[in-house]
Amino acid sequence: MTCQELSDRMPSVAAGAATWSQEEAEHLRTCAGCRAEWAVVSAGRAVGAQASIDADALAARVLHRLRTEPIVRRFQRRRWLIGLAAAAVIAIILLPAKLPRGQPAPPLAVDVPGLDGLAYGELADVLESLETSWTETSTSDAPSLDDLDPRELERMERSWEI
Amino acid sequence: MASLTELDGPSDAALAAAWQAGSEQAAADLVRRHASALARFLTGAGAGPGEVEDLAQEAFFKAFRGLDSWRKESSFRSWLFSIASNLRKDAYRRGKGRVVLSIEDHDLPDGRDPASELVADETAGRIRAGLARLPRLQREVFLLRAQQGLDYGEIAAALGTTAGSARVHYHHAIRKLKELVP
Repeated sequence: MTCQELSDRMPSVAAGAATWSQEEAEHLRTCAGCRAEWAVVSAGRAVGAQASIDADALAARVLHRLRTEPIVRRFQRRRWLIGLAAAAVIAIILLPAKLPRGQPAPPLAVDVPGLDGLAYGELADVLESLETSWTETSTSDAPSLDDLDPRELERMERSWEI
Repeated sequence: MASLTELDGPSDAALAAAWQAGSEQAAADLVRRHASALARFLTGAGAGPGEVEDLAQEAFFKAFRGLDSWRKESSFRSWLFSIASNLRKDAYRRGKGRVVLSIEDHDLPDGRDPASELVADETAGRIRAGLARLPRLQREVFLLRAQQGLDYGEIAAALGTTAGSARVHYHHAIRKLKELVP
C-alpha cells in the first residue's frame, strides 16, 4: 500500500462509493501525510453543500428560453467582419511585394479589427480564409488548418490575442 | 462515466436524444438530474449565490442548444461542467467574476463528538478559504475530483486539458490545502 494508491481511492471513499480496506485503514492510521490529505478531501467533498437550487424552477426557465429565444447564428451575422479581417490580412501579405527593392518593409504589426469579439466558429472561418490567401501567394508546404484539432485551433486563437 | 442518478432511469444520452427529438420532458429531467451537482461545483468554484443560478441556467441553455457538439466520450455531466467552467472563466475575464467565500456553515458535517465537530468545522472553513486562493485550474480540478468524484480523464475533458495535467493540478492543490489542515 503506497500513499499514491491511497490518494487515488480517497474521492470514491469520501463519496461513499467505497470503503477503506483493513490495509488502507491501517496505512491511514500510521501516515500523517495521508491523514492530512484525507481531511482535505473529506472537507472538499462537503464544499458547496450549502448551495441550493430549485431544479424544477431552473428547468422551467431553461425550457422557456429554449422555446422563445431564436437560434442566433453569430457566425452568419458577422460575415462582413470576417471578410474585413481576411482583407486586412491579405493586404499585409501582399504589401511587401509591392514595395520597391531595397526599401525596408513596414512593420507587420497591424490591428485587425474586431477579432476579440469573434466566436470560435468565426475565428475558424477567418483562419480558413487566411489559409486560402496563403496558398494563393505561396508555394510553401504550410500545414493545413484542417489538420488542427479544436484544441490546437483554440491555442492559435489564444496566440492571436496575445 | 455514468452519473449515479442514471441508474434510476434513462441514460443521459437517451434523454439528450429524446430532447433532440422534441421531448421537453427529457430536457427537464436532465436539468433536475444535474442541477444540484452543478450548483455545488459553481459554488465551490467561487460563484456567489445569485451568480450560481444565472450560470447554471446559461450552462444548461448552451448545452441544449449545442448538444450536437457533445462527444459522448465524456459524460453529459462533465461536458456540462466544461460549459459552466468556461462561462465562469468568461465572467472572470470581464471582471465580473469574483471568488466568493461563503460565511455560512450549512456545509459543515454533523458530528456527534463536539471536539471532532469543532476540528471538522475549522478544517472545512480553512479549506473553503484555501480554495479561493488557488489558481482557477487547480481549484476546479480539485472540486471535480474531491467534490464530484470524477476521474482524471473526465476532468481533462471537462477542463480542456490532459489527464496527466489534471493529476498534477490536483496534487498541487492537495499540497497547498494540506498546509491549512490543523
